[in-house]
Amino acid sequence: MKGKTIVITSGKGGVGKTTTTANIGAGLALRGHKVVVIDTDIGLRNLDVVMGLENRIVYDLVDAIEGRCKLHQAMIRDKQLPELFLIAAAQTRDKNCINPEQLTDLCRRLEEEFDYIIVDCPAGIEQGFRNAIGPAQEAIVVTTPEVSAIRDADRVIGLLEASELYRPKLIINRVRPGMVKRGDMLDKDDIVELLAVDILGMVPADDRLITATNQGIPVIHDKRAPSGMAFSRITARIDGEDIPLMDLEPKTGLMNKVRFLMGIDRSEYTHA
Amino acid sequence: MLSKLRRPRSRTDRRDNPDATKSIARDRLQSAISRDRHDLLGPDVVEALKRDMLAAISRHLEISEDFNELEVRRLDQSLYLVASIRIQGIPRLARAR
Repeated sequence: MKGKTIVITSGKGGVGKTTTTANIGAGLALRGHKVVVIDTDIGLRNLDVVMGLENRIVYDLVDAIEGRCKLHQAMIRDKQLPELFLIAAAQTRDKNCINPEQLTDLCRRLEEEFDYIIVDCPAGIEQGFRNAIGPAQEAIVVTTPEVSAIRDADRVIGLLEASELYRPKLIINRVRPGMVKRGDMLDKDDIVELLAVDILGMVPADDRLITATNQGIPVIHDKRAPSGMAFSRITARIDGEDIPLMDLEPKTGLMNKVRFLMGIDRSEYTHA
Repeated sequence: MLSKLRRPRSRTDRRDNPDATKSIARDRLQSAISRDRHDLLGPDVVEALKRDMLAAISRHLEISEDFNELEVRRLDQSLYLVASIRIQGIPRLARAR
């Protein structure tokens, strides 16, 4: 078996890299693949809490790289999906304690056994970024429809291409279709034109994502969550399925408007 | 809340919404990104371009090996490639045309 290593990056922090990593990892495992997700944000780990595995960490990435444990001992099995594993970042070290070659070596070993290795990259463009992109054969850039996130995405795409990761794919996160429709939010065409990259998918801003994350469950498991459905489609595209990109539509209809105004339903969109 | 309900409904109305902030974001981003890319344009890129231009121009004109000037320059919101190259001689064939 020869697996594929994909890095999830963004430049700017807080745009949803870790959530995206958790959901793509879970999504690929739901599709029957053997998957490892790796948190490379050494010193600021979070993929473990997002996946609800924070109490199960015994050994971490740095332990595995420095030989304090076997690679398999650093792999934490997911609660829901037996074919999904997490390698957590070390919390008491920093980005400079590993180098890209070490992480690449580790991923090459995992590729022998797994279909997908998803690497969650830290924010920024320094050592942590260089470590994370080292082993990747493909890159996914996460952005939100905001000027700061898009500008940083452009910078990161340039750095990825300089590292021979050509044609990274873009995920636009936290889209609010109501605002797009009003002309108050950049839409996918604007962003694709500015960044000149292919788009992998859009994820709507979604309260259900927050409540799922509160519980340490990737939102892709919530069949009613618009963001979960978006992640399912994104995962299918990563897995080679040709699924057309749909525009996210704001909810229409009087009852939805009433619900929204009464604060019963704060989501502004339907599923796409 | 009332103003929300009174907002124009049709797609075209919204697209023409003079208060829409999207186009401001797009224009600002366009200029910020082009500035970033310009700032990051390394001397190696300019050197490579110089080499390629020298080779291409030399097929048609005799020019001096050292460009007097080749740089990417910002004027207003646009970027220009500015070159000043002294021609040393025009080959016979070019003159025959």
